[in-house]
Amino acid sequence: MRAAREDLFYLIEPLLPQVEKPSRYLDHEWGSTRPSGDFHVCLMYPDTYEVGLPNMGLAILYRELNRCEGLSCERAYLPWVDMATLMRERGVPLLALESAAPVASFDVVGFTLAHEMACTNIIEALDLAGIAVRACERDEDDAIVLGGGPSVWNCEPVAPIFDAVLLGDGEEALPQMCLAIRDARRRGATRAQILGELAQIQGVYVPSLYDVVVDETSTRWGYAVPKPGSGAPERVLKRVVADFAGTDPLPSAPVPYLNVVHDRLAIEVLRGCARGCRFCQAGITYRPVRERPAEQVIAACERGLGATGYEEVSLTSLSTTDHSQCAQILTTLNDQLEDEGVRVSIPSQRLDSFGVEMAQAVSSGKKGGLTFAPEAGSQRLRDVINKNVTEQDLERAVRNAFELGWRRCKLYFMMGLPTETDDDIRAITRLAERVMEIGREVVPKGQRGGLSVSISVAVFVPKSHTPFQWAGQLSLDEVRRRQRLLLVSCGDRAVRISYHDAETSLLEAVLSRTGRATFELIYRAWELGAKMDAWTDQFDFATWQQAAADCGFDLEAIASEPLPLDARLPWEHTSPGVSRGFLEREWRRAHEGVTTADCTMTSCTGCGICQATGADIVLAGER
Amino acid sequence: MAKPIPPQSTAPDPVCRLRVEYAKRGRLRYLGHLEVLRTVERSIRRAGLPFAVTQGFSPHMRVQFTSALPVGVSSLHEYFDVLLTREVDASEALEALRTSMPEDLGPARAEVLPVRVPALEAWLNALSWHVEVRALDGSTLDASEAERSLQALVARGTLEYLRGTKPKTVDLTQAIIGCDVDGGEGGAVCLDLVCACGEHGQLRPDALVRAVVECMGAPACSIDVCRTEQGHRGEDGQIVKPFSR
Repeated sequence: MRAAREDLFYLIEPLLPQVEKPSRYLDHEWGSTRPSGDFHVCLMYPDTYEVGLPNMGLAILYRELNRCEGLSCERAYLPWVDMATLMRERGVPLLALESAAPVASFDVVGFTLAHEMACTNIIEALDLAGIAVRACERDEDDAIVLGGGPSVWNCEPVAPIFDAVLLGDGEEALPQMCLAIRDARRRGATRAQILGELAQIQGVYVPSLYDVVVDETSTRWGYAVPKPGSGAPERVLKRVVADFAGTDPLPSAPVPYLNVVHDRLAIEVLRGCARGCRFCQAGITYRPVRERPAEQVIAACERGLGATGYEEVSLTSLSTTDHSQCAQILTTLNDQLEDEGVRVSIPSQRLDSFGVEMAQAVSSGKKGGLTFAPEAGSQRLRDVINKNVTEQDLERAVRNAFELGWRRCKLYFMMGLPTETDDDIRAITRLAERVMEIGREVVPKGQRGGLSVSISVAVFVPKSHTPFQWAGQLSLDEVRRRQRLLLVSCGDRAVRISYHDAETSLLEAVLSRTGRATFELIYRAWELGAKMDAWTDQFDFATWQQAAADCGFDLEAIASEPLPLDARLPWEHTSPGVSRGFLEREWRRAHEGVTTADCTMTSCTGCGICQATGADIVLAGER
Repeated sequence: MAKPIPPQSTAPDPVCRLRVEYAKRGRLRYLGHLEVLRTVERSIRRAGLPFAVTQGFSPHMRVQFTSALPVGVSSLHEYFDVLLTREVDASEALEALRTSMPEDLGPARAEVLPVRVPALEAWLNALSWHVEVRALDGSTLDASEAERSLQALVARGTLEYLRGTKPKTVDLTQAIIGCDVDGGEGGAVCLDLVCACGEHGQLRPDALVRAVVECMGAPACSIDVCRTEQGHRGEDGQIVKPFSR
């Protein structure tokens, strides 16, 4: 039964003095819309307000849906543990922010699949809302629950939750889906009919219309085939906004009161990255590369700063310094914003002198730390992963950075990449020591006290639709052995070493490379109390181990198992458009240590995405 | 040791300041102090006022506020001063702020003042509060009992309380300038306090009232606090308001 649409803020208000950060629950921010229209959509980020509010995807969709005649879009976030506990004690359901109406009263509830570790939070949110967690248990008039976002590329482990999942760009597809649902509801269509219609929209995956088949051609997780007569496509192909520069560059996220994780205006300057790092899922799933022209970016910054009052603007994308007009954009913005106390920032540094120049352009004299991601220590392994960066690039970039006044340098690496040996591990510390050496060489004696080089090492997680999708992950014991090796191989005590949590990475691998059967594991973990798993102080691996034992999962065996090259994989029916032949070729080239160029700088490398989606690379200038 | 030299700013010097009175009410009373500051700064930017920025590595807006209001406390009269690089018409600036500030922080008055006047927070040393105490079980609280308890506390001289885990001590004989206790609607007790703040520390009215409730032996209570006025108390004991008009 659908909950009644009514303002229940009076149930939340008495709880506000009892919780941390009450401004998470207030709404009334600048730019928050007043709901109108008679078809209500609630977009939910499955984490707290301060993590979810800055999400670019939701800000774009909030704008697009609210622009649609007759649709009204509101936001919801997951309350922090203190508030969730109070709400359960008092029987208060999860509310949307704008109307303070129960989430369970909405026509559509859409979740961002932000990353794998958010899976228990989606269950927690539905449970708090009073919506059945499994799609098959929902009543006729219950909300239609949708999923979309960066982590849909193997959504099988959470597929039983969703009535439908959107693959790819949402700015055109989500309004289309919501209008289809609205029209079908008006006609009095049944839930099954609505889902059948959604499955006909390009980019929409309706899990309940597929059977999972396990046979000799598949892994133990099977593969999905459309149910006979369902009309659902064998392979769902992602949506792409071909004319990216034709979309509004200004997202419409309300300006928060709370100090959120990225508390600034964000303008998406380009979408996609074609550098072709073989471990990187986003590098495949957001192709083709589409740039906004410099004038559009600059005008959007001006308009956005005026409308929001932010004191910082970030030019976001997967690789902002690759924008063909990056230097022009940064110079123009710096000139315009100089006297207004507005900072310009870019999210990551390219590992060459140009990257450092661009960092210099936005630093306005103040030098914090500079972060580079060589990902692998040896040239051999960098070639394997197709990180097209040489030792000379790195040395030049670092020398440049120290000369320009930076003193702190952070280097990101991965451990457990395919073909990695102990020599590659030792090469990580050698590289860090070399960076330290350059620092001591360049930085004047009196200033060397501030000199610091730190390395942060994550565990490689094999991801679907990447050339490394067939690779297994290192076992926990082997991770620990290589971590010790890393420590003892470092001769320079000034180099600081930190690790990502190996147990989280193990779980990410399990959630990334298995199939629909894994839902039972996730559900069990949630039942045992797992939630907010992306928060290191909340994550409890023991809970997941218990859930795995209860469900008969051997987490380590699942994560470390290599997948046969000729097997049908559990995610192949949800496609970002990349050809299997390309991934296989890249997998082979990786093992041969042969690199593949960036197709935005040379010629087509044959990933097949432009052909499959009918979209093209769009550059605003010469790269 | 050579230190990096901050870039020479081309930003113009301030020529005046705009003093603005605003409120903190409704659900926005749950904002924290820093959240209010950030919101006001962003509102000033949205209003397009010609604000001055500081020199240095990370230039920021030159704006001054009154003392922090605790989370959950509302106010009828809050003030900020923003330094401007050109003269503005106070009523036009007020109109611009009305369309750029959230409704529950709505601005009520604005006045142009010289650049050099005493900073608001230090100058406003007499704060008025209205506190409403209500028993959670709905029982009627006795106003005269509350008054006796308050006087007993004042007679003791100092109030010691915990702010979070930090022990605080306030000299009540210095901190309380005036106090009225009355019965309110539906069995509530209302206290109207005028408190001095200065070297002896600032009295948090909720801490005082919690002590009063404890002293009365009253059941668990809700305590609603509103800052009703802020002024400057001179040597002669006269209270001057932040607006000349």
